Amino acid sequence: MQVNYKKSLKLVVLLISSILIATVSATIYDYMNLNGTVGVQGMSLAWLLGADNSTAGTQINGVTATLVNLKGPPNGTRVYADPVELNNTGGTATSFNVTIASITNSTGVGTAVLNSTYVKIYSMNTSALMGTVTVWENGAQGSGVTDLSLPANNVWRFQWEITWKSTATTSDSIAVNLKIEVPVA
Amino acid sequence: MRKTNEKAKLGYALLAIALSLLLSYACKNAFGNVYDLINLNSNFSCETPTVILVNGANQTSTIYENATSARIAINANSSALTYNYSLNIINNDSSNWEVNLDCFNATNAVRVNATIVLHDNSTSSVQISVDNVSLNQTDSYSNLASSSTIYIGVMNLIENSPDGTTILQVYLKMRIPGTTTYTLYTITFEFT
Repeated sequence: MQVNYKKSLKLVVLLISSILIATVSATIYDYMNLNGTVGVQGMSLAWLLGADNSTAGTQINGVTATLVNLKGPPNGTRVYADPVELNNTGGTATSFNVTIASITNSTGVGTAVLNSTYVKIYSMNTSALMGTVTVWENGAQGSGVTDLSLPANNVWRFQWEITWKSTATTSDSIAVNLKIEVPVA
Repeated sequence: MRKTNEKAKLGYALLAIALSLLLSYACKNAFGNVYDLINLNSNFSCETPTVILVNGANQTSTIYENATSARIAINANSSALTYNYSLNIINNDSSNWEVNLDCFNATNAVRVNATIVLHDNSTSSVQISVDNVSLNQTDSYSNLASSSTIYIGVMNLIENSPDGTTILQVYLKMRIPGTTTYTLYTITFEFT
């Protein structure tokens, strides 16, 4: 069989073109992903102040809820049962994941003297435990929860449980960032 | 001959389109997980305990580091014993608290009869009672006013069996009135 270099060259050019087309397509998808936040206004999930918003220092700014006043004693556990709630205002159930984006020491030695931190998610409608985010346990970052489904017009509360070791001092503080991922259909 | 070339070109073109579609599909999978993101941020710190545990007048307690956990050890026998001041709970805070006792783990509980109370010398609240059948809890709260002290009392402690040790692991639960924010200290009751 004789190789036709001209045709092969054309084939290579076509393949490179197809890869470029595919790459450009992928970049557009990526760009669409970044622009996905535009769709947030249409999201059915919204933060609400919980009953413990004053003790927890809950602040809600659009899609971001921040708890600025969580504290706990050394060798004891502080529980904020209802600092912030997630409300599904839509007409259908919404699925989401909760992931741990970051845990950083704000001051002091932070996580070195942190025993554990859990975020337990309870339904306000049924009181059932829907999932537990193990933020910190056994000296390491834990894991989030996936495939939660918040029914229409239901509200879930996010309970924070913080336990410092006996060696923790008032100079120790930690910043935690959780992400609620809502898949876009 | 020219017809053959055109067929070949068409073949290559179709092949390229097929490869393009395949690659596009693969890239779609790679970039196709699109999420809307909502943030939940927190910044939490360690605070000086405003409520501390101190050994009571009966000298039955061991206090651990930071005065936020304790062990109450009493030798039970067949005669009823009462220790009204087993452990002192001192509120150094300017705020009022509500407190109760919540047993979260028990070993050989029914080996003894006992009533565990919170009191302030004038009012008393039964928190936990055990007998030779069961352990019961009231889940009632007592007031712990600012700059005040209340006491844990162990009343009518009787040993039903000389064998083994009774261990009750109990949370001292301190709640800010009107909220569901609370602090848990661990207190271990050990009745030998």
